[in-house]
Amino acid sequence: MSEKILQVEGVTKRFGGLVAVDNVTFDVNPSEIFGIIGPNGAGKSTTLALISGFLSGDAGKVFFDGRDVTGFKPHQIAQAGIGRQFQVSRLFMELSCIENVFSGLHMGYKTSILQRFLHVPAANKETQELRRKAEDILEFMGLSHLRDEPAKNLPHGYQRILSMCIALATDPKLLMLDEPITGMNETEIEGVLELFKQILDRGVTIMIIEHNMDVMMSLCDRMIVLDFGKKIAEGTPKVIQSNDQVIEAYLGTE
Amino acid sequence: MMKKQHAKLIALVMIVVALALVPVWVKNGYYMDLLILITINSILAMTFVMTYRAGMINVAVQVFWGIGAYASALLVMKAGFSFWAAMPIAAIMAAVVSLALSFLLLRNIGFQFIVLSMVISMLFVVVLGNVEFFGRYAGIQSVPHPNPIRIPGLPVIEFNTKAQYFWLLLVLAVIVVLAFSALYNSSIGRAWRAIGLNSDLAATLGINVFRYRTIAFCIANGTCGLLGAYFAHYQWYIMPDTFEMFKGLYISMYAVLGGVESSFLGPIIGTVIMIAFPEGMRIANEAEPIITGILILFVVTLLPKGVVSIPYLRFFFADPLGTIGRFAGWIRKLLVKSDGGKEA
Repeated sequence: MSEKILQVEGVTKRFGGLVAVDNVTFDVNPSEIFGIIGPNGAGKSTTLALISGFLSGDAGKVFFDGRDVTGFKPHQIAQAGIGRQFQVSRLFMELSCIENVFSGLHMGYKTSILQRFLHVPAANKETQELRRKAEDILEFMGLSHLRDEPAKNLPHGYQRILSMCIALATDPKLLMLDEPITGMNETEIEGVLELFKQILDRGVTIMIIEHNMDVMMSLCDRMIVLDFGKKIAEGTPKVIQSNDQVIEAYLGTE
Repeated sequence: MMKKQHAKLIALVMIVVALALVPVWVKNGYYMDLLILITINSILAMTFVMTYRAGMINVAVQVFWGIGAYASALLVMKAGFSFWAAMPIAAIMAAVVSLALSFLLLRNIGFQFIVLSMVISMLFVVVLGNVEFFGRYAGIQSVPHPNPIRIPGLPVIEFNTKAQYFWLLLVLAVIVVLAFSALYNSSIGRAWRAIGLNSDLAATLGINVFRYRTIAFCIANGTCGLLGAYFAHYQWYIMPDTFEMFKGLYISMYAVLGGVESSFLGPIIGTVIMIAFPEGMRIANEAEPIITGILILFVVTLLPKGVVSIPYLRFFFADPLGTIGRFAGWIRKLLVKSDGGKEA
């Protein structure tokens, strides 16, 4: 059981009379790319919000790395090792790229708040190291040429990559990406897919939420399909592609 | 990075030295009072900016200022404390009250926070005004001067004149500014900024939003308490009316007018304008509030980032010595020109 990095068991969320996520259960294996797909409004983002602690579920449990993280606050989820990127690029728009990534390294501090306030040598040295780490992440993701540019000036595709940089800076074991390639052109998508492989090589498990089926089919190792809050299929892309219910959900019943 | 820090430090030293020399020339009590009032309110506005950085709009600054004032006055007068013990205790009391209130206020910092802050502001005045221990609406009179400092071998430092009070305030101001800037430049300040810019994103980065907001709230309000203690002894009397809700709104106005993105310069400029301008406009009598109001409307509309966003003001702080050098060069050039253009 504990081999799974993430286990979601019967998670349910109701908004008034609407059941946004209905008894969804799935597991994510370490070092795989796991996908959640489904038409708009299927409950994908709600599922992600439930895992990352932004919403509290009405039922069900979430286990991460063998540990019960149900009901954790967002910052506790982050501290447990789940990084997340938001659907709409959420960045510190006023800050430069490097400052954005540096903010993501907040958990990297080992010295106490008091030590950092007093700027003791150990804390200063640590800050220097973290700054260097931020540079490395920008370099790794290919954004170092934009290091001093405010995030708001970046084109959309770069903003998405920068938000991945910030998520990576938290040094997650599991990285959850919410529609990371939406609004990108094909060359940009190719670049991002290449980045995913490199992130995977770092030993980070990736979970992607997308409604673009084609890309997900070629990218994911395994996936689940949600429709009206319910899980309707689970398995490898091949299995999914030949599933009648999935085809129905995407193409309609007529 | 270091160079910028040095430049700011030089600017700070120059301003403090210039201000410290003011009482040597200005003997008029009215102007000294004005200067002290502006300095106190500038620091209060700085604490507003600190909480604003962490995404909070604190309209109850005056409550914590008042807690400090009453705490210090009562500790000295009823419990026989020395002013020098009472002042830090007053600051700590203001911080402890903020800590207790933060569980009530900071869970949801939207409208709820502002409305609850206003309710607390009103309650504060009502409680002070109706409890015998706090002197009811008449307040507390004859708050003594700070105890003289006696250091062997040096003349006794006393606090009887406005100049002496002003120098004490300057020392407090320098401590506050240095402490605040150390905070802003540490990871705490960066966490505040992250929370202020996007609290959801900050939370996904592992920043405990509630805890960091509480830290900002307590430090800012503790500073208000410190200033309150000073104010009680300087003013000689305190009464509930001084700490009513409008005071808090005024302090937020000082910060917004000066520029809430700027940690120190904005609050100072905003306070100077908002206090000095109405004082100067006293001749206009009843028309004064109207003129002041219109001025604020114009400034806030035309300069949404505050007066501090006027570029010239930044030169001095980015490069104080260079600015003065350039100014000197410019004057020299003018003199040379009037001399008949020797340079050409």
